[in-house]
Amino acid sequence: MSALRLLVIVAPLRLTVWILAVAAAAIIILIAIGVSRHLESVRADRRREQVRAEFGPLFSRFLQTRDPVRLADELRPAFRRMDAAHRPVAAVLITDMMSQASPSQKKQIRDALEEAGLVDLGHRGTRRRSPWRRALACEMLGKIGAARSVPVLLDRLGDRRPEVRMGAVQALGDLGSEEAVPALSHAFVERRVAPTDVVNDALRRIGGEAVTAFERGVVSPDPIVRISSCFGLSAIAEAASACVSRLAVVLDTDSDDRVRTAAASALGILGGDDAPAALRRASTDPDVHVRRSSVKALGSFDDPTNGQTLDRCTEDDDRETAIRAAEALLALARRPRAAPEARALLESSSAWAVEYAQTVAAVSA
Amino acid sequence: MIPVLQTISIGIFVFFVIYAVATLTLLAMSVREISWYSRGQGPNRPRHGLLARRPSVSLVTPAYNEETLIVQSAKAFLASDYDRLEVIVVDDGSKDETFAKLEQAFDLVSLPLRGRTVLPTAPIRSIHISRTEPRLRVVRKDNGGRSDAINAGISIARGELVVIVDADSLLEPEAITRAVVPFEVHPDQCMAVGGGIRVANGSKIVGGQVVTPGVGMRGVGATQVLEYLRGFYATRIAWSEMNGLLIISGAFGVFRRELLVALGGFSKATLGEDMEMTMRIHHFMRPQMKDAHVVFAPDAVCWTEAPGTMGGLRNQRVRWHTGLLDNLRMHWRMTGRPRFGAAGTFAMPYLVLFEATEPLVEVLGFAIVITLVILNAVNWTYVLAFFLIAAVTGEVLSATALLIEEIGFRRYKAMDLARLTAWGMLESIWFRPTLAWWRLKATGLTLMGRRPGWGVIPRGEAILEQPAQVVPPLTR
Repeated sequence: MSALRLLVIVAPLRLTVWILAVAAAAIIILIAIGVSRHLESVRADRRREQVRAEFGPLFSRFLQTRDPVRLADELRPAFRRMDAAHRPVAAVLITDMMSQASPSQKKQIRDALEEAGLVDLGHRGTRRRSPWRRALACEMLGKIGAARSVPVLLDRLGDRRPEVRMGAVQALGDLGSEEAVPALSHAFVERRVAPTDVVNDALRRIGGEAVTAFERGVVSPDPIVRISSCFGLSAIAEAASACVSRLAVVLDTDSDDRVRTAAASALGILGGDDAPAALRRASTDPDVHVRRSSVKALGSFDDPTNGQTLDRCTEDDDRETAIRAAEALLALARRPRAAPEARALLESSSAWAVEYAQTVAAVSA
Repeated sequence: MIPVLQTISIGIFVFFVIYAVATLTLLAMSVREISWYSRGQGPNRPRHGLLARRPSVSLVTPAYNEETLIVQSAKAFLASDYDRLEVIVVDDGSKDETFAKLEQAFDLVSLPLRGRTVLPTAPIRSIHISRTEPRLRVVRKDNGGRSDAINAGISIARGELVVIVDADSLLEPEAITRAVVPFEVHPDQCMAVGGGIRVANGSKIVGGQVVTPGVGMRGVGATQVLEYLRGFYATRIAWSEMNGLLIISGAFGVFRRELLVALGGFSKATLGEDMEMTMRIHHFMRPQMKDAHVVFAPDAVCWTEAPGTMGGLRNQRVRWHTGLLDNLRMHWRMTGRPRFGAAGTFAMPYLVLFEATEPLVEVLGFAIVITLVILNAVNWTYVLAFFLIAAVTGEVLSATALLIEEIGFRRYKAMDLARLTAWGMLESIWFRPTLAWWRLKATGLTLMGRRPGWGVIPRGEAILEQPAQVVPPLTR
């Protein structure tokens, strides 16, 4: 009992002293961090203003004179004056300006920035210790759009930080260089470098050669890659028209209903002769999502034979399939070849979904 | 008897030490994550803006006797910057003029009421679409409670994602766009996203939007501002990082519609249906899909009116705690089990120990102290230790919440932060013991098999649009 009493008296005292000491230290540290962050943000605001005050007139003059050589001459000393704290602010400012510029202005600004040494600065930035600065450098290089940045950005695909890898993927998409397609294709299929849809987005912005990546992805064992590939192909429709038959096969045979759903959506966008027949078959798919995507896609073809299928689907047990079928039938009624058949079906239909779609269409019009 | 009480008191003391350590660990994780967030480099935040494929979104808002706010709220929801959006207001058998106000404001026209609904609900009377705003649907149904109303909304929703928002919530225009980003970046893994909820009491509101965040002078409202900052930004960020987030607030959450349907919709068997759904997502998805994520999006902000009186606050907290106990009972099998990931191994035990049991322990601690004082056997060292640890942990928590606010968001002015700091120092004296008592009362009600009702919380005072100041005529 005496031991317990000792514990009762001594243990709380010592623990309390320790906990209070730790808590006091924690509070002091927190306050210190808070104050320093506040001061830092005030300084950052000031830096932003300084950089804006210095760069704003330069870019305004450039927009008036359209003289990239003069812009480069003015940028060079301005950059030289800046320290390590000001440069990221300038990078963000330039990135914003590049986003707003027209294509012809972009090219001229790019030449000026290249001339002023900003691209080299960005390349060095991709190797900075701070990951957020590396990511920012990647973003800036993507916006500047210098072709020689591609190898540097490809190298960053192996960065240990996911944010930097993602920044590099997006920057490669911005650059639109086909040189990046093999590495991005690999990243797309492997799914380790960056989220699948981020790589997909970069590939579709490159277009052209990227079709091969999506074609390979359609037969990947990973259903997520197959889904993403279907959407990728649909996004670069012109280059992918040859893939329609392959997507039709996917719609008919893939074991994963999510992949079949994506294939149906993609076929609706891509069009092509093989698509309507495959979509009509898919309108009886046991999975509701496949049926929904298929009937919606059927509305985008000017094909009179789709009318009967859609009319049947307006009675589908699934509410969304029925509504989409009715909406697709209304869409057919606006197409030259399919209109007579579709209008006749709409007039004779007693399906609630048709009334629903017509009311919504009337209100929306 | 005295040695027994003293032994129990040591146990309580150890309990609070463990609580302090666990909470400080969560805080450290949140601060680290928010530092990344403040640089705009978090893993779910593509700096280039949104990706090409944006999911369609249905915003569902249940409304029961919301005639004062519903038109303002619906307009504010429709003002969202998300382009693929439909707004569904579910009038859950209101006894006031909720529907009439909507009909008058939006020129509603009936839609055919057929087709099979995907979730069972109380009878739906009619569905309407607005002539002036075709993205708006209004569902009229018999009263069935909040979950039932949400389920009716989900049944007629057509979006891939469903956003659940309270009718008295003020959604920032860019909130949906921000909350959807995790679904875009991780379409295969992200199951649900919870937005950050902030207290609107004391803020300036124009056009259904918070234009100047502020902190009111009244203690109840101001302390809740701090409490929400603590709850959402000091801990949920860490739970989200660990993929152990067990609650997406009913005031603003985004879910995959198909997932909600597959799980049978929101439960009517609990008073905490928002937490229950989040737990159910972990319970059913994690064992079969390890990557399934429930994410907290701190930059997707929704403002809510907190109860402005102690009576309203009591009703709310008793209901919340009863809901928590309901949900822990329904999903107790997850507790301590690694197959549910961090949700099972860390978050559930944390909830059981420090949310469900904590009021019991806290009140027991007070009771033992009083008993020992009466028996003249009190160990003042222990008493001091007990109170200091409880108070200091709370202070560190509050200080960190304010730090996170300052690092990541900077919404409040310096004067507001000072006011929050002051209320934070005082809350250990009045706010937390009161909450502990109410939560203990909720525990008692649950053990006796009695259930609190929703009570009446006066609404609208804090978030009704403030009339523009009358400009005096020019008189020269």
